[in-house]
Amino acid sequence: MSRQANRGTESKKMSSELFTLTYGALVTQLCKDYENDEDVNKQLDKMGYNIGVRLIEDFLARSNVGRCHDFRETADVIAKVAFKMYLGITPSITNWSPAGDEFSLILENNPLVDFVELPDNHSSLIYSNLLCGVLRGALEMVQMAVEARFVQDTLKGDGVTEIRMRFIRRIEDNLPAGEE
Amino acid sequence: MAAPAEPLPPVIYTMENKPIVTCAGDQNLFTSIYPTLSQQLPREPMEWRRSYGRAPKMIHLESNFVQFKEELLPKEGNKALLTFPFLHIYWTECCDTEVYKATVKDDLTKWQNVLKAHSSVDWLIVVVENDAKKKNKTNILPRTSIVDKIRNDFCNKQSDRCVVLSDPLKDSSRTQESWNAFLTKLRTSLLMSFTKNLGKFEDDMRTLREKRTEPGWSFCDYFMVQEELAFVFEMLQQFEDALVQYDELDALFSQYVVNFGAGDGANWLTFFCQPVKSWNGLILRKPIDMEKRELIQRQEATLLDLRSYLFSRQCTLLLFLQRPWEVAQRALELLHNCVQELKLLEVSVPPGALDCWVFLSCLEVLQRIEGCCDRAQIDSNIAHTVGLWSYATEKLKSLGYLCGLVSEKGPNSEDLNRIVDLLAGLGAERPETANTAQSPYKKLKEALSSVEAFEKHYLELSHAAIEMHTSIGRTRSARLVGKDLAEFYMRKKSPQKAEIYLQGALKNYLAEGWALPITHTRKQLAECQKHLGQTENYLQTSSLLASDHHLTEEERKHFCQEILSFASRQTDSPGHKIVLPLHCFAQLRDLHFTPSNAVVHVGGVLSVEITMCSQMPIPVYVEQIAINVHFSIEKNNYRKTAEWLTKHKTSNGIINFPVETSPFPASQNNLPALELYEMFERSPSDNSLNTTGIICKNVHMLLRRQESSASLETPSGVALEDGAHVLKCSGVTLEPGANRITFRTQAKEPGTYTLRQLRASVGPVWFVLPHLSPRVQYDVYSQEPQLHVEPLADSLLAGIPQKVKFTVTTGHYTVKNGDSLQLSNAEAMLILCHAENRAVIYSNTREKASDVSLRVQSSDKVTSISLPAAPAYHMIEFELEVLSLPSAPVTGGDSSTLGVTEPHRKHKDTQKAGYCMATTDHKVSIDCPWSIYSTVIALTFSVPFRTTHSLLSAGTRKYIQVCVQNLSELDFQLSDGNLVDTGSSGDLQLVPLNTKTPQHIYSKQSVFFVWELKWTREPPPSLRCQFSVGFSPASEGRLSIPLKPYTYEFQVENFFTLYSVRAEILPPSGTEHCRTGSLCSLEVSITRLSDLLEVDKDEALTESDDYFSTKLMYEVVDNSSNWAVCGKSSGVISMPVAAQATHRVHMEVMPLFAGYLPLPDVRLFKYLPHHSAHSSQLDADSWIENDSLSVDKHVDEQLDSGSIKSRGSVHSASSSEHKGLPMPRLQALPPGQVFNSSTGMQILVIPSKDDHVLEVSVT
Amino acid sequence: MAVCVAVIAKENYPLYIRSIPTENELKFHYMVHTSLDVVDEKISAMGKALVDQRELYLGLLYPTEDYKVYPSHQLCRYGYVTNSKVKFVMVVDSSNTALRDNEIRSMFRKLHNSYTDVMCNPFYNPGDRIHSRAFDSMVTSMMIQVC
Repeated sequence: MSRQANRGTESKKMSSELFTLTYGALVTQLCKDYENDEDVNKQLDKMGYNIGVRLIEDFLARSNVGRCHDFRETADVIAKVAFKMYLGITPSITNWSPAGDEFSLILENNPLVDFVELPDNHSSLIYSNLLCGVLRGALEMVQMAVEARFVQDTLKGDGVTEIRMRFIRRIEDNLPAGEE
Repeated sequence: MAAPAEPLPPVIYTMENKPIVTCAGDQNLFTSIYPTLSQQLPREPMEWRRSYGRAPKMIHLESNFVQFKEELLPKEGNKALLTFPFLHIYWTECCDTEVYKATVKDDLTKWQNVLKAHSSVDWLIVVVENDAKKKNKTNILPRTSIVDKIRNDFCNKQSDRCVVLSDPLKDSSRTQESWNAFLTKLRTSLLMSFTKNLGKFEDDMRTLREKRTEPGWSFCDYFMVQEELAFVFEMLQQFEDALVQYDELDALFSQYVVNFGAGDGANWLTFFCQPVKSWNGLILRKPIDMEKRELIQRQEATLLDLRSYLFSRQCTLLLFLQRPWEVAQRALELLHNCVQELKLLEVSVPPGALDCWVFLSCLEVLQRIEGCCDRAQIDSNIAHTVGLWSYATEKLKSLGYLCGLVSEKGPNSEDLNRIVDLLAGLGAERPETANTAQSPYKKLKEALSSVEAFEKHYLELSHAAIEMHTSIGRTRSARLVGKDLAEFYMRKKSPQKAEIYLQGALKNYLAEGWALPITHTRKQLAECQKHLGQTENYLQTSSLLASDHHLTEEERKHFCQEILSFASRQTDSPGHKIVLPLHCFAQLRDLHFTPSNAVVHVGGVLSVEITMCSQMPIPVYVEQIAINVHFSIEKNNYRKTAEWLTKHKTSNGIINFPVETSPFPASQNNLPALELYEMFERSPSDNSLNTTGIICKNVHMLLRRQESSASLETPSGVALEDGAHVLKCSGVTLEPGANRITFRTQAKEPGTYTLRQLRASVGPVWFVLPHLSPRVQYDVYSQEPQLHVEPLADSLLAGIPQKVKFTVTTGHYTVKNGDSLQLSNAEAMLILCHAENRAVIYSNTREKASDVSLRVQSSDKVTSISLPAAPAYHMIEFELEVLSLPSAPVTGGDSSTLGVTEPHRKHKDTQKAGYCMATTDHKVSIDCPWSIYSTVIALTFSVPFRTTHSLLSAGTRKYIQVCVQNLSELDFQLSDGNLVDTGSSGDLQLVPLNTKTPQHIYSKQSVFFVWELKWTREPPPSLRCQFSVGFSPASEGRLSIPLKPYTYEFQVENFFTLYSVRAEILPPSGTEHCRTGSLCSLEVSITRLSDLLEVDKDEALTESDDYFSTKLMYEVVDNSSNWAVCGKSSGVISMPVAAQATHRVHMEVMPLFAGYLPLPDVRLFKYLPHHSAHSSQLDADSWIENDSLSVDKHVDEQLDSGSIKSRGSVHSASSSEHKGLPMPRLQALPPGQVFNSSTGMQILVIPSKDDHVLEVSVT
Repeated sequence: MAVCVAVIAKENYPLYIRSIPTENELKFHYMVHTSLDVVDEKISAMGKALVDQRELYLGLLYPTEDYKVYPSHQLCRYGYVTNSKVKFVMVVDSSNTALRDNEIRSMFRKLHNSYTDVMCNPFYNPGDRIHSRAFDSMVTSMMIQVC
């Protein structure tokens, strides 16, 4: 939600409505262009990925966070710094898997879905799937292969929105798989 | 006593009320002053500063002067403000102390006491001074004025209570001053009195209101009190304040009622709950309706009474305030309010009573307003009054329905009773309206009196209301009233009157897309149309209703049934059709063709499948569903080939139709989007652009939109198109929802068929979709039968069997059994017919139909291929093997490709750099069963080989070498190459020096054959040979048919050696080796090998007594410039024509390099002397010869760089000849005739001793 | 409180209309439809002013006494128009609770906000009928208080 000319910690404000509506327009257009929701979800994820691989640079440049030593630390940075910086929200981190390789981001209010009501014919649409892509892409650039997926969504009538993050492996070669 | 003093004015509540002022003392004096006073008082306004922080006001005071009486003074408190004396004045003009002491003083004291007794402090003493009086007084006392005395005696410490008015009746400045002073005093004291007393009154009033929760409290009492206040304000012309009083009362009462509704009822309120007995509307003609007021006073008023009275007062005041429109508005609220208050208080009201009351009230208010405004005002304020009008209308209507005045057979007895009761409730008409003709009372009475009267009044009102509504643009309200009117008419069984209103309303609802009202109104309209017997409209409306989802299933079924029953019943007038728009009956969803490209050949079968969504609630049996088709002959009249057809339509032939959104208004998203297409007309021949443009494919949709709302009800003038071409499908039952219907048609005429109208006929009822959009069309094409013959490979090779594909496109022709293709064989190309040929039959869309065997029999001239029977618009494909003879006879037009002999041929070859294969065309004319003309097809074969030959000599022995070069891509097997002498010469034999075994010749490779020539007797000057070699593709093994060998004919001339030339280089004498730079001797010996032969017979031959000799010229040329020829390198010799005649020539040469050097080259030429005899003709060929010579020369030029001299000489010769001078000529000897035995010989040259540099040339 | 709430498009067709009790729906449709007359009147009359002091509330359109719909209730129709000429009409039962003007105002404001949200829903195409659960529930909350 914030973008600025000079990479500083201060961030220009911009209307969150515009942001939300823009994203809405994007999703609905995708819904027009693709037959089934699964394809739309895929596309969103791709877009997110492509955003993520770029955004990470911006993120690292502006938030002077060092390298994380474990997944928990990463989780904290994502929740407390990244989400705050870009979406102005701070999701809470919960139910860690005993192995410590999975956790959930709980978004009380997801700025992407203000005003949104899913019509019945789009029941299987994962509206905010872009976020998963972003997380995946961004982490991939810092040598972390993760899987991100929505397990709860307020749009689907759940109380909160929950993104489940799973650490897959460290990527040894520094080259990303390349934009999909 | 004076007139104004008595009698006491009775307290009547009129606008003439004035505040009362009492007068005591000298009445006559007062009487004399009164006129001036009463007129002077109101002249100047006075500011009234008021208590409770109310805004000060300027008031023109008037007052009502009455004679002072004790009983005027209120006993305790002051309830009645109107009768309350606000000021007491004592008048005297006494100027004589005696008199004062004697009478006036006592009188004053008495007066004062009375006032004190009633604790009234608002008093004034006026002393009038008159000079005249003073005059006639004789005894002049020391001048102590009466005024001072009075002040001393009465007004202690408030001396201003005593005023002097001097010479009031004079007209002098002094008089004026005193008047003014007096009046001001009077006014101020009046106002002070008002303030004081009203304030006190209001306080009391408030305390009284506070008590309202106490049990004994009565609203009516309180009402009276506050109204008193209102009256005073009114009296003081403070209408605003007066109105406020009433509004407060109003609010207070309403609040009570509401609370009562909420549960806590004040007991006094129960009194208002008594059943309503009289409902004679509002009375607004009198400023104060005393009767009702008294009712209230006596606590006998009903709620309606109270409300009516309150409103009448408010109305009066509002009118004083010039706010008539507020009256109207308040009235409406009041009426609604009363109605619901009665409900709240559960007051029992006889049915209709309220309607009467409201009706009367509305009219009363309206009339009252009209009474005080002029037409223009009213017209410009309809917005305020129209509400009352329509309310009144509404009420009258419900009264009508209540009393059975709306049924066509009039009211029954109980209705009549009800009417009587209602009228009774009106009571007698009021006197004030008694003599106005159109009084509400009279109207109502009359309206209820009879059906006709009611109708008259009701219509009058309705129309008035509608008119007003429309005049101020409240169309919707107008429509609503109209609908009521329509209902009324329907009740009255006069639907024709009702229809227009319903239509109007419906149109409005449709235009604005209000679904429920649409449905409801439609239902009414349907009934109306039914009564009117407007069959079509009724049916259409029914169909709309039947498809209306806002109705219940039953209703929809009912209307659907209506249609069906009509359809079944309608038989009387056959041929009479009822055309209705389709969309409300069923909707066309999609359509698709098989074949999917919607292209079919003449006679082919096309099927169209449509999906129709039936809107009907029940299954409907449809006799016939038909699609009207418009036929247009193909504009671009070039034959459509199968390819063109396939690419010209969308692959999946499904066309979707937009769902009709009929009941919705033309808002941006309901309008169909413009369907614009770019259009390119390309010329069929070269597909270049002829015309281009933009087409709007749904114009009709867009245009129809405009009048859609209207046309929805009245059957839109659906133009039925004449059905020349119609797709039919009979006896379909349309289930509710989607139905698939399939039409089959056999294509007849070629052209484009556009689907125009869709029609479903249920009995005489036709549901028609006037336009199909997007436009749908299919094409029918016809095709001429055709034969294509093409090689399978990219190029056909001569000499070996090659496959050729025959494609018969049957087109409109049906191939019968026995039909056959007659191929008239070209010689040199034969068609190889195998035992088994197969033909495959495809449909035009390239589906394989069948696979049959093909019979081919060929006689020598004709090959006939009997085609398998195939239906029209199919393709028969088969392959045949053809074989072109590898080489045509020399005579053949194309023989030039072979036979090297022709010089020009040779030329051609050299020009074609990358030896491309020589080709032969074979034309085959084929007779097809479908046409009388025979088709000629040309097949081009290319000869895989290129052959060259050359003559080789060894001394007198001769060899012929043939080089076969394979130009094709294939590898071949060459077998038994053979060379025969086709010439006559018998004893000449050709000895092959080749292997017998077949040889492999790879693509782009060559193979050589050599034969030695042997002869015994003198050989002929020329030799014709034919080379032939059998060949077969290396790939295949044994071939079915024996192949013709490849032949090559050529001719060799002068192959017989006449001269042998020997050159020898001898080292200088004394040395056994030649050295560079040292001269050596070159000896050339030319030997004649034969005696005179035919070939020698030319002009070079000279004969002298049977001794023949010929002139030769030799030339020594060193191409490799190894040698420097010293001295003359060429010379002419005369050679005796006799065997073994030898001629030797010596010359000096010097080797330039060391090493084994090849000998210089020696050439021989015929030397032809010039013969002047036939120079002319000789000139001609001299050119040629010279030409040929110079050619040779030029060839040398490239090589030779050494012998400049010699060439120079020759050149001089040739050039000189150009000048036309007769010169001898040179002629090269044919290669066969000269054998140079020393070619290839080398001689060792050692470097000269003194050379420091050793140059070695290696050759 | 509100017995009928309607949202009417610029072109005067209903985008949303809901009333209780439902059996009298038709009646309300007629009622709301006719009240458009006054809405238009008011808009055209004080249109200038409206724009100027950004006043969207049109106030009382007119009272109705109607036995059929609501025995013993006075129904008042109030109007409200957005600057995009979308109209809100509320039929309010003001019989036993004399509603203050500003209460009505606030109700309209709630309505307007909720409508704005509907418009912002990317899946809603402007001009369509409103089928939004959120909007529905909001309307219900305004109607719930009817006696």
